[in-house]
Amino acid sequence: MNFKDEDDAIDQLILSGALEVAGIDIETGEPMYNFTEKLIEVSPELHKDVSLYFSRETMALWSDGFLNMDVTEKNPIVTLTKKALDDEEVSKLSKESQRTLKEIIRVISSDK
Amino acid sequence: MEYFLGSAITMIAMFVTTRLISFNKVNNKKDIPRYSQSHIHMLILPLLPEIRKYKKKMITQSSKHEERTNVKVVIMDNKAYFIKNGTFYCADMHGTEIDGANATSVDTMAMDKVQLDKMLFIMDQLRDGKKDDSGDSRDQ
Repeated sequence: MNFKDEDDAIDQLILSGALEVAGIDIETGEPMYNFTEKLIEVSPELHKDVSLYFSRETMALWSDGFLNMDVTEKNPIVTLTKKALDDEEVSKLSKESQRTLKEIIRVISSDK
Repeated sequence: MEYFLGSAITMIAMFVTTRLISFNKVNNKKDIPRYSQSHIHMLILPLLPEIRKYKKKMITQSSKHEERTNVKVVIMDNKAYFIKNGTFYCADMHGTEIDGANATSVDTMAMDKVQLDKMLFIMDQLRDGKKDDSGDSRDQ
């Protein structure tokens, strides 16, 4: 799949069912999206990039002491450390890492 | 007795079916990470054509406000050049200050080729890729 620009990419991904609207971020007002399982068929490159990005961010959070997990396992169980709930420590992270951590906290909280 | 057995079997069947449906519902519920629009733009960036990455200028509310309230100035050879209300002006510099009050419109008709090329270069810098500006040199 070839994209002309960012907006065209979002349009194409939604129309092909690889991306769906998940709501609005209450802090920034930005639209939020979920990638669906169709992404691997629609755009394998983007699927690879997204997976790599998420793994890289999660590993960085683990190495910085925000997450607990057994990195030697294929599908490790991820838990939060006290540092992940410390606003001062979280504010030191990059915007991307803060966003990833926020999503991990949301997913873990909704599983309970 | 037959009615009782029939009712019991129906109730057991309904109970088992209900449990199976709710079990599947719980198992199918996958909460996956969400991504904001700007985050997706960042992820998509490596897949865009090379030229888009460098040439795209985002039109945002702040960029429109900046365009409305500020004037872009090019300083060359101790003179300041700018476009205001569709006219190409030139003003003298006094140190780091621009003498805006004595700015004069640039008369390109009386210029030789070297000066004209210089003006076109300045105009292109001031335009910064705008397509609907009258200052397009149209020779590229």
